[in-house]
Amino acid sequence: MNANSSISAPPESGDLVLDDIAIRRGEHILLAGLNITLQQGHAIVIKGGNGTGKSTLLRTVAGFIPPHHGRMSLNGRDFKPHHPDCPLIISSYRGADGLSEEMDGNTQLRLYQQMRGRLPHLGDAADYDRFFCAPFLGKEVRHLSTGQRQRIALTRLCLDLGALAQHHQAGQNLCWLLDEPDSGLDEEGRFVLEELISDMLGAGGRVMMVSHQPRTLRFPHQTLRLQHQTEQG
Amino acid sequence: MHHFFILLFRELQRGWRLILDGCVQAAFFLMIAALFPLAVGPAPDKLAELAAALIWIAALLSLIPAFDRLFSDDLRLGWVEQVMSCQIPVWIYVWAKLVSWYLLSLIPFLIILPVLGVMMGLDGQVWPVLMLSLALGMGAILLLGGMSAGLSTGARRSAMLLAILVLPLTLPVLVFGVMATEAALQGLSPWPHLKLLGAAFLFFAVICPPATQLALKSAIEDR
Repeated sequence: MNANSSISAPPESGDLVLDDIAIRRGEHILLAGLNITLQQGHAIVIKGGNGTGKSTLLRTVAGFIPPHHGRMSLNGRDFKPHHPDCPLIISSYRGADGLSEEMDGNTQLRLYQQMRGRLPHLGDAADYDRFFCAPFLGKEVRHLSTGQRQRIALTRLCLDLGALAQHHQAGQNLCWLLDEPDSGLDEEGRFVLEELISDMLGAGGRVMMVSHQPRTLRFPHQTLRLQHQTEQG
Repeated sequence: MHHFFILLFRELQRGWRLILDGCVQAAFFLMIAALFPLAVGPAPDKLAELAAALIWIAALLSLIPAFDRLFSDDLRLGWVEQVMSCQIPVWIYVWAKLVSWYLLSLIPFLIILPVLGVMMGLDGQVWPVLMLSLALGMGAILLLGGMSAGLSTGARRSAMLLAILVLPLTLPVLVFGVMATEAALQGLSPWPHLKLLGAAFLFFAVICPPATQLALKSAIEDR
């Protein structure tokens, strides 16, 4: 149907495979015939105009929207992202970042570590402060700027990765779904983010990222371009 | 259980910052209840007769505006999605939310209740029954409110719809609650009514949280 919105390769073990996925929003088919194979240590950057379904695709992989058609599998087995038995550990980032405005950053990062029971537990959040949040971690989130807030939300990813490294585990079960993680960051922040993603890929993790940035991203990736579906599709 | 306490602690920590909301709610309760003596006029006998019913209606009315905010912030800011991503079942989140909310709104209520009792000329012996029936009844109302908050957040409708959804369902709670206090006022045993109230509470405790969970999941799907 929409042959150019597919990234496929013959599936191997350890692959995250989206097979002939269609997504419906209301009465409208947003995406159809989408095939994606995401291998360990690989990243896909999703591009496309507003309303082409980039975020919706990420939310489908994250399990918030059931696909209208098609299946999602890991190692050849279907998975349900929120089921406690799901082998895939998914971390999402998007504008609605889940930070509570009345609490400070430190508390919320500690909370994140506690909730992530399945990742090995980490010590102090400050050790993983790659986004340089230390000066404002003690403030309530509502007093922070958009960029600062985004840095705190992204520090959660550092915690994911730090937890793996500390326990010498490979990241093959880790999958990051990042919806415009670089929108509010300054140049330094973007550099840190790209470095972080490179490290994550090096550890064997998977990344799907939506980005509008025209710059070249400094980590290896494939690009998936989404287009508006024509009505007869 | 572990996750429940983590989430409950988060809600309590957050709620403590928002304790002002709880106090405003209690003040609203006091205001509504204070209107009745003014409207009924200087007739202490009549007032004492009506006191239980008035306090119950005031409690009910003051609780409803707060339902609106119960899940809307967490949904808007993506917190429920974070909880789901961490593979924590949504019902654990719902229970943590309801329990924290119950604790935070009950405490200001119970502090204010004796003031009201004096204002209405209520017999001191009835207070324990009134408090117990309100504690049980508020639990039931919060469970119902949680369910309709989930539904109306998903449907993006206003607090008014919420009130219309909740009020009819709270009738049994209101009736049993008032009857328990009335019975105590007349020197009869309040226990049959309190037991019925407890039964209503348990019934809603079984029915409402799963429905809330479904409503939240569908709200997330639509975002």
